[in-house]
Order: sequence, then structure tokens, then C-alpha cells
Amino acid sequence: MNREKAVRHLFILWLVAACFATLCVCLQILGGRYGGDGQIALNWLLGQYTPVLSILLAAAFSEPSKKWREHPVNQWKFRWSVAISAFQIFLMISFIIFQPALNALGITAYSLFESTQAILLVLQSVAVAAIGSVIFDGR
Amino acid sequence: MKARRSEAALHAMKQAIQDVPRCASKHGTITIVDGDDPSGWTQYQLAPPAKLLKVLVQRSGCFNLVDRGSGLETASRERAIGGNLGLRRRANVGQGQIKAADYVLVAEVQSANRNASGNAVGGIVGGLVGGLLGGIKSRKLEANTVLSLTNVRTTETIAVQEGYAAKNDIGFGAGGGVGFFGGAAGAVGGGYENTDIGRIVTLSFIQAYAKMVIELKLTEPGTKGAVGATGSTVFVAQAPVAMRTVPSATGKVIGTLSAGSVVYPTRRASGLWWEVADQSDRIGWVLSTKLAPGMDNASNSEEPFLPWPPPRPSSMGEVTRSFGRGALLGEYGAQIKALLARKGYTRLHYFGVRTPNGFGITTDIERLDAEGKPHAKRWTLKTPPPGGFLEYVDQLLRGDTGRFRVLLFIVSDQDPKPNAYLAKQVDLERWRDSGGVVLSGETSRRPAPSTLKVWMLVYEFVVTNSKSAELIADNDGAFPFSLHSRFLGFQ
Repeated sequence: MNREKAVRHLFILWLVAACFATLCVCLQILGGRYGGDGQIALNWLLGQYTPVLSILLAAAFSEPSKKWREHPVNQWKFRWSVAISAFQIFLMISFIIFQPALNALGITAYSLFESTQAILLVLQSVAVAAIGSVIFDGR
Repeated sequence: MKARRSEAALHAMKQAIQDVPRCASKHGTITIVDGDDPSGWTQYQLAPPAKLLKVLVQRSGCFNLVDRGSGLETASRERAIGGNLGLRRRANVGQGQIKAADYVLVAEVQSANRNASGNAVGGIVGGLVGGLLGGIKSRKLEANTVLSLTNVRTTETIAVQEGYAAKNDIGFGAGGGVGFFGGAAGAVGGGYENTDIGRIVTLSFIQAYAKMVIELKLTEPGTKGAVGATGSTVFVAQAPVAMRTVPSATGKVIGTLSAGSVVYPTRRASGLWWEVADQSDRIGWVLSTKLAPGMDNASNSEEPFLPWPPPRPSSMGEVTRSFGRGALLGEYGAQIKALLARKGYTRLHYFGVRTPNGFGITTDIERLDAEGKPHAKRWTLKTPPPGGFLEYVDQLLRGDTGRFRVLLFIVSDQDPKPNAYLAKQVDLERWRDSGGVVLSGETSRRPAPSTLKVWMLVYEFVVTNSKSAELIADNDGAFPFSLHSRFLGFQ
């Protein structure tokens, strides 16, 4: 797989995940799940994917040389990027769609947002670094 | 190197002792008993933990200790001497002087381990910690202790806390007797001071005790009702006092309470500042040094009292005609209890009211369905688990949109004209936690005047999915009183 295709795959993965998660949270806000505090949920969600999506968008709209585009991607770096992205996306979406189950255990959505903020931020930094290594490799 | 470790260990112990929470006032009398299984402490030649706990309780100042061990035996012997041989005149030992314990604190050592690798206590400590300990594979000293506090009056176990302490022998030097309880309390002895395992057990008990005191909010001033001994719900300003938006002298002044103003603490405290609600429904922070317990405490310290007048209900009505005439107040209590039991209310909370003849009964917080009938999971305060896929999706999108209700029956010869103060979730929890489990004998035996009436006050609440996750009083969109009275079968 060449570098251009690898970046495109990562971009699609994050775009689909971001759209799905945003749709879920918007429906929840419209449904009244967060009462008058929908902004808190939206802030939490945007913080999860905006940095990664931004760097991928920048890569998608930049014009690298033909040599860079057709060069085979470093497989280890690409797989690591996909794995860390998939893990973060899985956690992000899980924290949204498993809220009713967690509520039954006494964990409210807001306490979940607060307590997961730090770990997801760390994961996101790792994901940005991994994706960055694919994008900037050989440029 | 070893001396430095000993110093570190000593420092850790002293720090732990410093961390024992201190209470501003006593919250009742307490007796301490050892757990059923003595192997936890005898295997390491430690004395029964009650001895250690006495020192902790004494240092914290949260309870008055009453001796039911060797101290009571000695006291009994002295009393027997007085009974058999006669006391000299003006001797201050007589009948009716022994103070009953309000609480019983049971101290147990679940496991104390000198050489464990972590797996042995994994089940008790929890998978993660147990797993980590198992992974380190080094010599350990560790102890798992449990404290449970039981209210003697209600026999309800009001708090159970675990403590856990562990130290690698590489990080915990041997050292000699450190005398960490020196000073005011004197030496504990019994192996708790001069053995490593004794110190670890001590640290574990300190942790459990601190967690218990903090959980019960005993360190906060004015929260005597937190453990159910007394029900301080009303306070009176002793001098003009400013009510502020934040617990600080620089906070914006909401208003000034004149001397004699009645306030209702919400149980939030910050140092000397308490959050209170006044009779005009304003909530703010005042200096607790300018407040004194209201009439409810002064008139009868045994029976918890409802705020009088009660908070504004969602709806209310007089239901005297639905009950047969009784000669004693207790007969009304029995009728209300029987009626509520038929409708599934098994846990009731009894209160005095600040009128000469009367009492109050509240029900638990009850979940209602969309039509105002009891919900299938009526006693579930948290979000009930979804029953199917569609209900799950509904909860995912809409959250917990339940309605709740608490019924308050007031039997009195005076009209309970509710004030403007809107009941809050904290009030409901206070009623639930501080109410008596039966009507007090004194109130029960009081003659019922012919003018006695029965009122039912309905407090409805909704969940708004707000960040505070508090129930919000609903006085506008509430169900009509007739719906509640019909459910209970009133005419």
C-alpha cells in the first residue's frame, strides 16, 4: 500500500467515526438526555476527534510530491496508527452508547466525561503522533 | 540506609495519625467491640483491635466512648461494692446513671499478611490491586480491615468501610517502638506500635475510620443528623448575620438575617460556613458561629423533628375523614401505617412536629410512571436498567426522565401552613435518614384532642438530566391531589 492510500484510509476511518459519534450526541441533545448541559457533552466529543481529524484534513488537502505519494508506506507505522485509532474510536463511541448501562450502575454521563477526559487525551496524543509519523514520513 | 527507612516509616505513621479527621462536636456515645474472628490479630500476637480503635475514636473527638469491656467490669464491681456494703453519703454512684451507647463500632481484621505476594488478598482488595501485587512478587506486609457502625436505636448498619495498608519490607524499615500515639492518648501497646505488622494494621484501621467519618460527614459542623442520632434540621440566628453567595467573607451579600431568623441547613459546609435556606426561600452561606439549634433540638433530643412549617408541597389536602376517630395519637399512626402498608409502603419515617399534639410520617422516595401511578421499579432512585432494546435506545436518547413522589402525613391540631421554601432532594434524603422507624412511645400515648386533623402533603420531583443529577421539585406540572388520594383510597 502506498502512502497516499494509507492516509486516505485513516482519514475515512476517523471521518466516519466522527460523523457517527457526532450524530449520536446530537440526537441525545435533541432528545433531552443532557438537559440544559448539552454543551458539556459536545465539548467532550469535539475534544476527542478534532486534533486527529485536523491533521488528517491537512494531509488530505496538501499536495505532496508524486514520489512521496507512490512510495510504499511503512507497514509498522501504518498498522500502529490504525490500531491506536481504532482503540480510541472504540472507547469514544462506547462511552456514548453504553451510557444507559453505566447509569444503572450509578455512573452519570457527566461523571463519565470528567473521569475519561484525561485518559482519552493521552490516547489522542499517541494517536496524533502515530498518524503524524505516517503523514510526515519522507516529506 | 535502614535508619532512613525507619524515619520514613515513622514519618508515614505520624502523617497517618495527623490525617485522622477531627470532629467539632460529639455525635453520640459509642462502644467498640472486636469482630467475631480473632484469628486476624491473634496470629501475630496483636491485642484485640478495640484497644486501638478506642485511641482513634478518642483522638477524633467524634464520639463519647462508653466502656463495655474491662472498664465496665471494674465499674460493675464498684457498683456492687456500693450495693452490698453501702455508699457513704453524697457518693455520686447510683441507679439510672449508666449511659447507653448510641452506636456500636465493630472492628475486624480480615487478613493480615506478612509474606504475601498479593494473590492471597487479591479477592479482598480487588482484582486490579491484587493483580499488581501479584505481579511485583516482592515480600509484603499488608492488612485488610473492616469497620462497621451500627445504630443501636434502629439496629441499622449505617456505615461499613474497608481499610487496606501495605508496605514492601524494602520501603518500611524495622525500627524500634515509635510511640506514634504518644502524647495525649498514651501508648496503645499490644504489638500495634512495636511490630511492623501491627503498624500496618494500625494504618489500615486509620484509613477505614477516616473513610467512615468522612462518609458520614461527621467532621462537618451542624450535621448531627448524619448518623441518625439526632435530627437537627432547624437553626436560629443568634445575631444579625450576612447571607452570602459563596462561603467567604468576601462573597456577595444576598441579604442579612436578623437575630431570631429560622434557617434550614442544606448540610453543605465549608469550614465555619454553612449553606442554609431561609424562610423566604433564599439559599446562601452564613457563618455557623452565629447559629444555634432551633426548637426542634431543644424540645426533645430523642425524636427527630420535621421542619415546621414544612416546605411547600406540590399538592396537599386534609384527609381526616378517611380515618376513624382515635383516643390516642398512636391510633392515628397505626391507621396510617396500615393504609400505607396495603399500598406497598413498607418503610416509613416518623417525626415529631413542633406543635403540642402531633407527629409526621414520610414515605420513601418513590418513582412514578407517566400516569402518576407507582412505577414497576418504584423504589429505584437511580436510572432503572432498561427492559429491552427499544427502552435502551429511549434511555440513550432521552436519559432518565422519571417522576418521583414522597408523601408526608401530618397529624396535628394545628394547620401545617407550608412556607415558601421549596423542598429539595437533600430534604428528602434527610427525612429518609433521620426519621424514626416507629412512632415514639411518648407521642404514641398522648391523648388525641377532638380538633385533631390529618393532612397529606405530596412532594413531587422530576429528573431533568441536569449535570447536578438532583431531583427537582415540581410544583407546576405536578399531578392533581385527587390522583394521589384516589390511589390511597381516600374519600
